[in-house]
Amino acid sequence: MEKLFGLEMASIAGCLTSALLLVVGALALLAWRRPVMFKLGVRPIPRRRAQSVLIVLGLMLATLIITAAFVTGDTLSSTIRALAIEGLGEMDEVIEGGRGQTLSSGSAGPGYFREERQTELAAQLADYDLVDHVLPAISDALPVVNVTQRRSLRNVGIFGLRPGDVSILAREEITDAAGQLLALEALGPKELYLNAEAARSLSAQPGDVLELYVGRRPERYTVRAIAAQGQNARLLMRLDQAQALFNAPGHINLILISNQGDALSGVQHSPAVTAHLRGLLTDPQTANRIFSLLARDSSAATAITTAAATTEGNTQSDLQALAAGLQSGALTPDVLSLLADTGLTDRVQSILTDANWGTKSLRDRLADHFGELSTLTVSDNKRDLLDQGELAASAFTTIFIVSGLFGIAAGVILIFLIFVMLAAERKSEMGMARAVGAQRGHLMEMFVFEGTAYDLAAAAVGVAMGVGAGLIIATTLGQAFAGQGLAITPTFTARSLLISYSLGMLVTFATVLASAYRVSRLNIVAAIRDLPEPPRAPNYLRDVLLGPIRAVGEVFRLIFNLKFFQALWAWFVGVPASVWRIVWMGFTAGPLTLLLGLVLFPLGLQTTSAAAYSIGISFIILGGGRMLRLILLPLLKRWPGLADRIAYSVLGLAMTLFWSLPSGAIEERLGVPELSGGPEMLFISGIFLVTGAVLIIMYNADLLLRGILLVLGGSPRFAPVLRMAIAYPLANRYRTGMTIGIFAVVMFSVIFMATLFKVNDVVLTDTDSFTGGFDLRVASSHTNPVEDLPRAIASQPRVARADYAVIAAQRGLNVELQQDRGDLWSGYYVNAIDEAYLNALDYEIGVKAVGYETSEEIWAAVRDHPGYAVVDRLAVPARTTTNIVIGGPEFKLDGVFLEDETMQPITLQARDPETRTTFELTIIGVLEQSALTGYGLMTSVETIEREWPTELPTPTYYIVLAPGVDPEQAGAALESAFLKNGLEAVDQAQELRDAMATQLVFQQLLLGFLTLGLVVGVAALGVISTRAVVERRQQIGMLRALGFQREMISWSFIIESAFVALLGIGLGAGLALIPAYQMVTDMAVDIPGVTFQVPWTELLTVSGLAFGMTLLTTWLPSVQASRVTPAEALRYE
Amino acid sequence: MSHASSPAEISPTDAITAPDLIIKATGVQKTYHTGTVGVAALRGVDLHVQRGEMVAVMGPSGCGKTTLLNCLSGLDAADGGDVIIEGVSLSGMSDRERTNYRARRMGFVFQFYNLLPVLSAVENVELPLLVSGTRPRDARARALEALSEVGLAHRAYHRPGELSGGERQRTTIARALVNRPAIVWADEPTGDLDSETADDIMNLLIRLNREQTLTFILVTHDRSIGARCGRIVRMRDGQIDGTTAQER
Repeated sequence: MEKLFGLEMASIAGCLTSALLLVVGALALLAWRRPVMFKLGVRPIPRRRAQSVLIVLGLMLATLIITAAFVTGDTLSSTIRALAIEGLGEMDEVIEGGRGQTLSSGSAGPGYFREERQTELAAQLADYDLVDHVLPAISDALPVVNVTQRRSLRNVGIFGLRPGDVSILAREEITDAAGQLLALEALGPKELYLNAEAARSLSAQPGDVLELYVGRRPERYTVRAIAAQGQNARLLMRLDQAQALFNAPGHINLILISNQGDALSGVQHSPAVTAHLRGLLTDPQTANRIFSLLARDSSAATAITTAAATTEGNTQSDLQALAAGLQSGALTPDVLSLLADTGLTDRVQSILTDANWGTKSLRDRLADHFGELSTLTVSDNKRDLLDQGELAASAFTTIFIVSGLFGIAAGVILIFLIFVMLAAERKSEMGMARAVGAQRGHLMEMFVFEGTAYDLAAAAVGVAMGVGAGLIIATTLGQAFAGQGLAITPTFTARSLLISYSLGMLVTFATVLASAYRVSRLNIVAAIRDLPEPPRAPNYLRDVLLGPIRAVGEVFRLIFNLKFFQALWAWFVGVPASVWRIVWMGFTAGPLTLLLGLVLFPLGLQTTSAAAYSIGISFIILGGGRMLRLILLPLLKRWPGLADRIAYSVLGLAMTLFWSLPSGAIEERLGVPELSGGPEMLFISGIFLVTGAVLIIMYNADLLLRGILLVLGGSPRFAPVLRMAIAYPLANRYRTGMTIGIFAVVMFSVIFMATLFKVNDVVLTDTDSFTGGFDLRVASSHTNPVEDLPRAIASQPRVARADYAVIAAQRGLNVELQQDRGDLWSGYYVNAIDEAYLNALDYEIGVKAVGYETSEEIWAAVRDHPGYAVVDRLAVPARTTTNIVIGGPEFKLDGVFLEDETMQPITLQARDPETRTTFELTIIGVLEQSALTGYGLMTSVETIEREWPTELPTPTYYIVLAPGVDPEQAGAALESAFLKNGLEAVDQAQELRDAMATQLVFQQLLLGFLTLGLVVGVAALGVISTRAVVERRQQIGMLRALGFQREMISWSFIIESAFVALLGIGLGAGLALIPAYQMVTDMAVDIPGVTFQVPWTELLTVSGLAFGMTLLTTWLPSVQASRVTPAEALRYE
Repeated sequence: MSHASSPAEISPTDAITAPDLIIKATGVQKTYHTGTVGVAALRGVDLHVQRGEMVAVMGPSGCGKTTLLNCLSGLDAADGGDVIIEGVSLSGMSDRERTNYRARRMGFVFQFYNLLPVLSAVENVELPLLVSGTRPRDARARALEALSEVGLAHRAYHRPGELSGGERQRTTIARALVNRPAIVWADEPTGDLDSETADDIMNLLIRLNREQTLTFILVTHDRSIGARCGRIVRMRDGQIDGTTAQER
């Protein structure tokens, strides 16, 4: 994987490793200078091995999650890379017949050209160092029947090469399972080789006879041998055999270019080679005309630059280079190469049309010039494929990292919690150290040394375990996609591991640093006597505010005393630190948090950023709540805790309420523009929702305690245990709140995702809505199609006609649509359906034109009135949006919304993109369901036959089977009967189930990944329980003295952990259902039938797992607690 | 309130009104092991205490006072000898039986109070009742009554962190008394208090000893505290060095 979040992985690795080395180096230097602090810091680690192991496990979670995400990305990147190499071998660029022109004579198909063209090009490239080979080839596809085994394949690739050129293919495709080379010169005139996938699909063995259909004429070939690998079915033969087969003697349809270097390294030359080739293959005069048109003013360059900002990868860089070239005013070879890139120039033309660049006649002229630019086009397919692979890998890594943010956040809270508890454990020790002269900085150093020691070990363990988790994910994905012919081999790179280690280490280090700073601010007397921290001194505020002035004064004093180095230190460390104290106080007290919110809120509105807007409001609530507390404290000092309760309850309620509101609830009333947000919004909403709810719970915990005791405290034996179990966590608000938060954020993510995944149930429970009630989809080869399937079936004695109740035809056409004259033409799709289809289909119409009452009336109108059509939902906008961009067509209809019940008929102009023949279509309804066959407009075949200027494409048939007929058997019977037509029948319901099964695996995997975060929560409770045994030793002794039996002590510990875990689990799960409900409700507008369902199975499984693990983790400390002997525990204070 | 009365108001009468034996310790031994070194904390202690007696165990630091209290009360098991409380041998009891017995028949007061910081005063006091199976509602009523007895009814719902040292010790005493125990064990009950508060606490203990015929065993190194008890047992090097009965 080369990029993540748009940043080069090499740069990320470089920056993180440098930062890591800097931190470790600085700490090593500090340890060398202060060995005593270093020893004090690391000394406790080996002394408390069990606790140290638990801490390392707690700290490593963030690294584990990051590593697992990277391993998944690496695996996908490597898989797609392997696919590219396997499919293309040494071929780096491919030259093919350009822009649909038929260059051949005789019967060779479109795209064939004279073989001499390759010879000429090879001569032109003879002195060009970056190219190793220029080879002629034929690549085509046709239906193949294995006569021996009676199996067929509709579309099998065929590759023809000269015998000496075969090494351009991947080695695995030209060697058999025994490693023997499949030499082309060894083939007889009617022999060929199969690759592994073709052999598998055709059940072929060496010696089997295959029929290859070019048109209706079959040619018989014998399988000589089978290649060891190959993911797409392909036949291999000599070039002269392929020329004979396709009746194209002396012609080829491809020139293969192999760059200098091997299969992978050659790609780096692709940009230069492609540019050079395009220069050789394009007509300079036409190129000049195109350039003059585009560069006549800056508008084209501006439109291209604007569009480039929303694209990614090579396309983005190519668009930017083209815009820069146009602005420079000179047609350089690089610009010429870009203009000759058909994929890019198609995109450019689309951009210019969208931007309404020039006039329509100017754009048409430009399109004509592009068509004349070159007779041959160059494609750098391998580079594009690798680029797409990189994007896919990056996307997967991003999904896992963003999903893992909850776990990472939980891990960070845990790290903080662990160090605060470690500090509590050594409070009196630290107080004594301060009393005998240790500075606050020394305490910080001590903690940082200890934390870093844990951190270094934890990051290493995290990387190791992350690799394990990542490999499990990759292996599971591999198994899920194996059925689709995609071989995923788990792998990872050292660079990813380095990034994971550095990132995990630095995240943990930053948290350690923050917690060390916090614990170093202790009151010496309170620490020594283990008393609560006293309130701040009355002059604290004044001291903080005057801090910078004093710090500057100190600098001058040092200069005056000629202590220049100390003065420098004071200036660069002391002064910024004093300013930071003011800023920090401003944030913690509330005013600066409020101010930041007041800045972010309007900024979010201005930039339509949902994140800035909602974080702004949340900060206003946070800052406001903290300031309310400051105001209430002096007013309510007679009632201890009341100010805190009121302020934090108000804060928590406001926060929870704001984030619980349906999206747009406030914004619509305030006339706020529609805000845009990505998946990060889930994380942000989860964190703030949980924060709000935890505050409400923790500051009203006594009411909760009373309620619980009222319900469960009636039992005399149970009451004292329950009281102790609940009293402790509720008394330690900070610690308990953080632990509940850890559980809650993770449960939030798991249950939210599980609820969204439940939406897929609608697909499995309502198959007909997606298949339209058609059981089979049948297509035949384009070279030997079945033109009239009902008649063909009737003439086949081996097929029972009665099994096929309805045989309907659908022909798909690419069109361009325009709603109003002057609008841009937008590409879309039309399904021309015959009467049988119209009579049988089972699709409901969601929005009906005025005058039609039922769906049946609409379909009857489409059947009876040529020119009438129905549009699918994807082309219709919704009044409410889900904030999720799922993609969708370029074309959008105006004047109707998905939520409407009726509409006025809408007349559209439609045209054939090739001939520009225009005709009218009248939309009289919007489909209820985004069905499998429902993409695009649906109109009667009569409409299209009347208007379409050229021959209609071969139909795809949709079949409703008679009741009781098995789709698999019925499909197999058709395939067998129409072998020569390469007929393939697909069981639509099964196809849907297969697709869902793969999706289900991915979903389960993601849920499993999210659930990893719960380990953090469990570790937190383990650490807390272990610590509690030490902290409460005397109290346990007292309880034992008062009559608590051993098991009562043990139970009180277990119930305490269970109480915290259950609160966190319940809170997270409950909160997740709020945004999940809103999102599912919004989705229901786009996908009718979708209903909100609580994912009980996942909820109970994950909760049970977390709860069970919690009990297991707490069991050991609880046993230790029960073994505390009262006399020893009570002996010392 | 009577609990606030000065020492002069307490009449020096003998509190022993029921002359039956409540504690009979014979040859009690206890050795602590630190690594390979064994330290003999009790070397065959014999002690008899009558019901209703108020006994002060005194001696220098490390003489075994607290160890004796722990072994007699069943908080710790003796290595040798026998301890009979109310006619029942502690050494013959399992840990569970000893714990049950403590819950029903003993109360404890410690120097550092050992109140549970997460519970309010009344919740601390009612805990022994809940442990011994009293219904929560009844336990609460009796706990409030006990707090009232020690003059702390108005602070019942405050947590220990919000109480003064004297108030905390009163709460501890209320907790020790709430179960109407036969014996109250007090280890340096005034050790963490100023002299005036210590005096108050002692007055309270003496009053309870007199009015409720409670047996008190106090471990203290404070001579003035010892002087106010009915008998002083002096210890040295893990053995009883002498006993002095005194008028109160």
